[in-house]
Amino acid sequence: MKTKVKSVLLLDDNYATNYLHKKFLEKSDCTESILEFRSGIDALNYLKQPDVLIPDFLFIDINMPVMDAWEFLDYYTELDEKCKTSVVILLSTSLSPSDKEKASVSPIIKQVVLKPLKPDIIEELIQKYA
Amino acid sequence: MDKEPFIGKNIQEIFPSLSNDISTKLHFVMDGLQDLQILNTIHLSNGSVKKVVWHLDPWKDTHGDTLGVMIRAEDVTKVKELEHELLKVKNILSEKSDIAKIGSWEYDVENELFEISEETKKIFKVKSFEKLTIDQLIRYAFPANTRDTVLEVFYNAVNNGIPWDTNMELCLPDNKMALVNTIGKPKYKNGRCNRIIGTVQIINEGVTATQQNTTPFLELMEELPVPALMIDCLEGNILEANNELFNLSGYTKLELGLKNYLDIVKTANRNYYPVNTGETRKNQTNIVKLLHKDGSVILCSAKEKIVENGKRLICVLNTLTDEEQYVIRLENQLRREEKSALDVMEYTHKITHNLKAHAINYNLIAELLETTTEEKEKQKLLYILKNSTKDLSDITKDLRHLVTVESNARANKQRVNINDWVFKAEQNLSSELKSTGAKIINEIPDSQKLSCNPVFLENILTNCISNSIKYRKPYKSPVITIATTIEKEHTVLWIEDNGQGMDLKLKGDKLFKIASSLGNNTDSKGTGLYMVKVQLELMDGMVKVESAPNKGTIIKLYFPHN
Repeated sequence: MKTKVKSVLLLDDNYATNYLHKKFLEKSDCTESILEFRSGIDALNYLKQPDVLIPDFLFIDINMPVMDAWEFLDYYTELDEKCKTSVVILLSTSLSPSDKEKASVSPIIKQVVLKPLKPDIIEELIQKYA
Repeated sequence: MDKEPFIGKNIQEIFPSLSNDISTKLHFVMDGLQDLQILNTIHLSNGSVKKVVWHLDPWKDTHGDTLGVMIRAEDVTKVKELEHELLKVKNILSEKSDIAKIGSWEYDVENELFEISEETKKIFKVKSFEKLTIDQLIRYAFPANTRDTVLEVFYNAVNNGIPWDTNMELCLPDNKMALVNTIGKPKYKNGRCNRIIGTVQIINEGVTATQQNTTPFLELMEELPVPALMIDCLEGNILEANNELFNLSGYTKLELGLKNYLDIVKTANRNYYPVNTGETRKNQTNIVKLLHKDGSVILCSAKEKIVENGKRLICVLNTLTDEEQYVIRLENQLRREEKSALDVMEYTHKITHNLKAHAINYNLIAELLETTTEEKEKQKLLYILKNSTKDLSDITKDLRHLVTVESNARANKQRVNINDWVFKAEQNLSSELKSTGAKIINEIPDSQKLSCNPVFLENILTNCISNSIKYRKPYKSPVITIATTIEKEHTVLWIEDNGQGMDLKLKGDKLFKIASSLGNNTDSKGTGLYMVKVQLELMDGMVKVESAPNKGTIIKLYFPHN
């Protein structure tokens, strides 16, 4: 049977990328709800509110202006104890060795994945880590 | 003495040495005053001298009426002599202790701290310290050759219980040498030496160390075929310099004597002087700029050495040959290029990431457009495609801009009228200025000129003003003030706005980094301030920012005069 999670968060400064990823997430039918943000600050402000559902999965673009993925994750893990059990997948257009190394020492980051996310990749990731 | 000759005679006739006011004093006693004493020296017929105190008392009858005066003489010769002797001894004693200047101290073994008395403070010429560590004391007061002796007597006292009574040499901050006698006695608690008490006393002082040690050096310095000078490490004041230095710097001996080392020698290391007393610094060679009296700069290598226990520093300057100067300039250039290459790498990496993201998206959107049958969905995809294309063209614009800057980097500086370029920047931004109702207050006089690369100046002004518009307060028209001030080495261009401002603690380190926009603003791609910094640095200038959240921002652009 297909695994389905409660909530997935998308974070990418590129509007088109976010739109397409959302589309594919819907197609894969792996999640009940999708949160979509173009900046880490907006995402944190939303998650700070009381009684917000902490996402099970986070797909985050590494390179973003203002607040990059690393900085966002520093704040994110401080938000709530539950945040530390979220599955974080980093997205990039190129797999730079330094990013890979940085990701490998962070306990919360499960994998660095090349863009774009396609429905079959999404399904595979959610099956693997949910 | 017979009784007879005295009867009926006045007392003054018998004892002529009694003062004239004896009759007044007799009257006082007749009036009732008791035990009035008069000190008198009597010269006896045998030549000897007697000290006598006359006691005068009223002689009263049973009714209490005064009949006359009773006079009693007391021989005090011995007492006076003793008193005098005592006074003399006291004086000698106080004189002696004053000369002796014995100070006391106590050393706490466990905490390695000295507690010193007032007199000890005077001897060591310290004012502020109540407590000193042994290291501080030794470094402060003892010349290098006696330090081991001091440590040894302390070691023997603490570990072997051996008291000491030794003479030691002190070297004090005013550069006077003094010979002192110190006595130290270990004191025990629970079988262990826990403190040492002792005294310190000056035996002779006032020998100036300079006279002892440096006169030959000064003579030698005069003879040196290279420019040399001596400064005091505490203040950095110039104490001595030789003829070679006067020739090189253009200053006279008198003028240099009033100057600080930092007034004439600029080093890259900012907090170089003053050196704390006792601080041990490695002797080193540096490339420094010597400022000539006429304002010109002479590149020199400076060899420095700290002498006299860290109190003074001697410095020998060597003018660099043209080849050496050329090498240094090349090295600096190389460092700048390397740094800028790193920046460009980072920038390229980010731009590539962005470009690739766009390419991937186009691919996906095209696929979706092919497969989607729903009209509404098609419209949405086209909308996204359009916006994405705009982003892409902005990125390429930034890239082109960067190339322009790089290719202009070697262009010569010109003296330009600042306001011409402020006007150009305003024109570049006319639509943004109009749509936001922005107001520019230009306080720069029309005649004011600036030495710079005009293309860069236009870019810098445009970027800064555009930034002020971008980060305006919501629902408030931006007011941007542009002004200049002239500083010693720079013309400073101020761009002040009434915008959102920022917390420099949070944003400060990112401010001028490439591709890290400041606010949560989708218009910004984070190249603006980075380009400002790059272009100013290419002109040997710099940029500073003052800001606070909701208080607006001041950007200060420093353009060097030459």
